Amino acid sequence: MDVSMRKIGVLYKKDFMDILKNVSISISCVIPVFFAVLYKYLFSELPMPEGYLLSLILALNLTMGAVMIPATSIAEEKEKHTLRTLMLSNVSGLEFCVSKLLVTSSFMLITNLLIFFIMSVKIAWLPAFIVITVVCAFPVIVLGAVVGLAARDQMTAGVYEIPLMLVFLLPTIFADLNKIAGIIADFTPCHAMVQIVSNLTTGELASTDTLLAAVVVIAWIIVAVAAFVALFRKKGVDN
Amino acid sequence: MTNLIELRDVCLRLDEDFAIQDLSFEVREGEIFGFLGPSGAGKTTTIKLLTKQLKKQAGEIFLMGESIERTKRSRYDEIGILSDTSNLYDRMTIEENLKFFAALKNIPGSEVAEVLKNVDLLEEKKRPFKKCSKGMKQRAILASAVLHRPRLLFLDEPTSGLDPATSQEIHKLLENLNQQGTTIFLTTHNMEEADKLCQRVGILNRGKMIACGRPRDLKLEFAKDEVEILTTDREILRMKKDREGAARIAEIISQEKCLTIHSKEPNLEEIFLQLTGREF
Repeated sequence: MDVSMRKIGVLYKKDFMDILKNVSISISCVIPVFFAVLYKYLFSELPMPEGYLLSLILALNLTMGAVMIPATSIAEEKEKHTLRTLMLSNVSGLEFCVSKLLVTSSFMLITNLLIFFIMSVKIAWLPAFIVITVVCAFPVIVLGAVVGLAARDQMTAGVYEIPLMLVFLLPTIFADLNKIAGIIADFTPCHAMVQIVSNLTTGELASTDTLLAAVVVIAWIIVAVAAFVALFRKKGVDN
Repeated sequence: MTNLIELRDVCLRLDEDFAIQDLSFEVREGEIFGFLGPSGAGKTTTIKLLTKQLKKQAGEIFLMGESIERTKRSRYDEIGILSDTSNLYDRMTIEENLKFFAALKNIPGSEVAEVLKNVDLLEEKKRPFKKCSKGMKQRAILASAVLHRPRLLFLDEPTSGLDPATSQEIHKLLENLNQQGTTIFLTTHNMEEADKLCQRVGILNRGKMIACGRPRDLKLEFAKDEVEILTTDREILRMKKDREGAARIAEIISQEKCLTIHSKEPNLEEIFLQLTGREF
């Protein structure tokens, strides 16, 4: 399948601007940033390990933005038939999907950086932080795209998004309070990212825990890409 | 004259029924070809076959001289398509939408203004697409389909649901495009539109081509063998087109009793009904 980088660039620019104008999607990027500000000023006096609040907000951002942006955006293009117009303008399904994945990654990166600076963590951690958050977000973004491909319209996408978001977020939040939640959380990409970022902030990045979390993320990347390829081959991108 | 589209005995089954059955016809370069038929006749399905949205199960399709299986993706850059569901982006203005499609098709953004002028939307270019009337939307969608001056343009019901004035504007646009060299494949169930715009038409019914030719030729082929005369007595007389009828007509004219004289040619709608017995 031939892919035109020029077309991906044009689609990327359009998708980026469109998401900025789309209140229902852009709100999913604003909420974690809002919580970062809130947590910073409400809970900064409480005795907590450094990086704990950062991890918590990153988990929220990962499950909201990474799932919602590609899923809702792809479903909207299907519902309003703009996807059909693109296909008929000689845009391939792969070019369309790559643009959506890149735009979501960009928004995730921007919001993660905002959260990083709001939480005033050590600037020396920034390069590692960027690599960790981008890699860990990848499987969740691809799963968000899978939801978008599977959904007929935005409403269906909304229904499919919620269980995925809850399955990733809730065990991570309750991992320290409940044993079963902790076990489940160990197998989610969300908790794996939280674990690696925590290890970064406590100076234990080179540890067995980080390695195990990395294995979980890699496994999720394989699962997400396999699900995406299978669905893409079976259904294509359009209804 | 080159055939831009050629179908030979094409078949397609959808849900056990034939959507297209032994369909054969050709569209010549430079013409407006009207593909007519009632809803469900297979018009949109044929466009989907020609634009690779569906795959034929039998027969051969040639697009711009090449078998459709061997047609490269880049070939589709020479084609414009306006489907019955084509749409633009709500949150973008008309101009932003067209600039986006111009960039996709690798056309300088400066050409957008000329296309906007051609579709009479230059003054409305800053209007968000979602705030446009249906006619404006359709003209903007058409503009996005012809930005790259396609060699071949597929139009699926381009005036469906539009008021007569807007339909007229679209017709004018299509005639201009055709004069500039674009071959147009137009599907419609509006027989008047087809009669006005198309050099040749094909009538499709239940996936089969039941008539094909120039509208005038079809009308002559299906014309009744009689002439209608309105006399000075306001009487309507029908004469056969034979020696006896000719003598009678000559007699009426010589008596200066003839007000009007008409041959009884059917319109395309009547031809369709005659062929199929179906209503539109």
